[in-house]
Amino acid sequence: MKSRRFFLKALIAVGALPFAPPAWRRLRELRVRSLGGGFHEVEGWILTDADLEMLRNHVS
Amino acid sequence: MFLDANTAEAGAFERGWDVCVVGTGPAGMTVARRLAAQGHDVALMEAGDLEVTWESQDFYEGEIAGMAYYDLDICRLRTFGGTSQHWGGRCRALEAYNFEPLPFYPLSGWPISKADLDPYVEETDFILDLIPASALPDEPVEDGLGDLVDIRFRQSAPTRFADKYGDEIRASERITLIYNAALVDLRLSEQGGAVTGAVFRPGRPEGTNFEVRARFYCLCLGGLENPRFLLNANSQMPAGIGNKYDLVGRYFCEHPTYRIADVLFEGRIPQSNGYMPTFEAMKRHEMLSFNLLLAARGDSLSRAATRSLACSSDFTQRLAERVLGRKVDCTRDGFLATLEAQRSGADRTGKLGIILEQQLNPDSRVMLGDEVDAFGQRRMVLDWRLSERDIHTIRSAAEIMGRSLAARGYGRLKMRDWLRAEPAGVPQMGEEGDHQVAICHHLCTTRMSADPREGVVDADCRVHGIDNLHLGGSSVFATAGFANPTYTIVQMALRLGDRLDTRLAGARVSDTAG
Repeated sequence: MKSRRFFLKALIAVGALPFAPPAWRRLRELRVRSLGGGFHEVEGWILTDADLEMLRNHVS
Repeated sequence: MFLDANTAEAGAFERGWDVCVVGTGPAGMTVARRLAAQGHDVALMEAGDLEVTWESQDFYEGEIAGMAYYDLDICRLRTFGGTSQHWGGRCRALEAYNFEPLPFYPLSGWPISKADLDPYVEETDFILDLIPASALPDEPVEDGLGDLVDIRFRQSAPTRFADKYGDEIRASERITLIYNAALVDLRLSEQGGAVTGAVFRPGRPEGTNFEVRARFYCLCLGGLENPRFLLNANSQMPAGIGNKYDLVGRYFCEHPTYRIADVLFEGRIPQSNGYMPTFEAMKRHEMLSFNLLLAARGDSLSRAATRSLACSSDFTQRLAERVLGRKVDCTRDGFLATLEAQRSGADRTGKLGIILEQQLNPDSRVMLGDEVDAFGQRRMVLDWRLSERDIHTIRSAAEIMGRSLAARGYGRLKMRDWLRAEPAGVPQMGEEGDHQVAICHHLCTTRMSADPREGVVDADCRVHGIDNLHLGGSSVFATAGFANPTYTIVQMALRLGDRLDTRLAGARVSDTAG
């Protein structure tokens, strides 16, 4: 669980290059492309349904 | 027997041979040895000297058009043993599916199958000093998606063909190695259907041409030099030998190599030699094959090993502590501890690289320029190009790996910005620091096809329209695959040797082959 919490925090606010953290106001504007099978591409990230839900809940 | 064309007596080459094999890299050396073992007399010709010289490498200089590429005299060695004298040794056979046609790719498929090369696996493993492939089996990736296979490569010593087989050839009663002898022309019969002699030029400046006659001729000059020679051989055929349908030199393929994504690891890092797609995934995504390489960012293994040398012995540890004035904690700084930390993803990020099978593009090609070398042969112009499907394959590969990493709980992947751009512009050589975008593999430039309108050689590597002229090496590959080519080059050379043995035992050479 601890490593999972760390990972989620890192996914949201990674400071290490080459990952650039999205501005909070842009999250709702990000283009989400469905890849099928519960996977999505967002700004080059390959994410799951759960990832999107987590990101939306974090911003709202 | 060894003969130096620079010093051989006049008349030394007046005898006839069964086969004249030109080129002493893995292909030429293997064909020659196979034929000699079957009792045939072979003239094995080498343009270079027994050692590499800059004078010899000068003949390989040429011009780059199209995408940036290495200087043309860098990748290849014009010497006894050919480019095997500095290759890296990585080995893998082509996949069975590389030989199969893909419905969305008209030129895909070979006129032979993997089964035609399987009889030569054991001998190829022996030649290249490899453990059996069964010792390193591939495994499907257990992610429930069915797109990827975890694959293994084998590592040759690497075998240096001149070092390994030089003594055997010197002592052979069947093989005459003639070095410092550059092929400059082929004499054709009146109707052009057969080769009657091969013309060579000694390396010394005052040398005069001499001719070698054989029943069969086999050119194994390399993926760039095979087409260059054929295009230059226009004394009787203006477009070059074997070039009736303007195919010689076309469809040049490399194995494009790019960093395509970055990875944020959740925890441990999957350990793998690489991943390839399943055939079903290729058909589903309408993409070609590839090898994906996943690596943790941060300390490389070599840097980690260097840093941990202080823990390699009691003495080095005491020395380091005395010099540095502090304790060295080998439970943390030792090599095994460092390796474990790297595997556990201590820095939590990584990178994904791809080695790509590029689609055949007729405009990606070897041509002749206006400059000539010291023997009057026009130098090469290489115009290397990719296709839209190559970008599609790379994007699909990134998406597939991203899904797999997420499904297996390893982390998340982010595609590099250049891959997401429309249109995507692949990094050019030198743009990403010292990252190389190609790996000196030269393929498909005299490709194999049953149809002379789609290939230069047939399933037996015989040049369409010329009964006794065969080609060997990576230039005859029908498609590129993603695997390093040397293993397949040797398999096909063994098979070519057997084909020539059969022909030598039987038919007369036809002058009217069409």
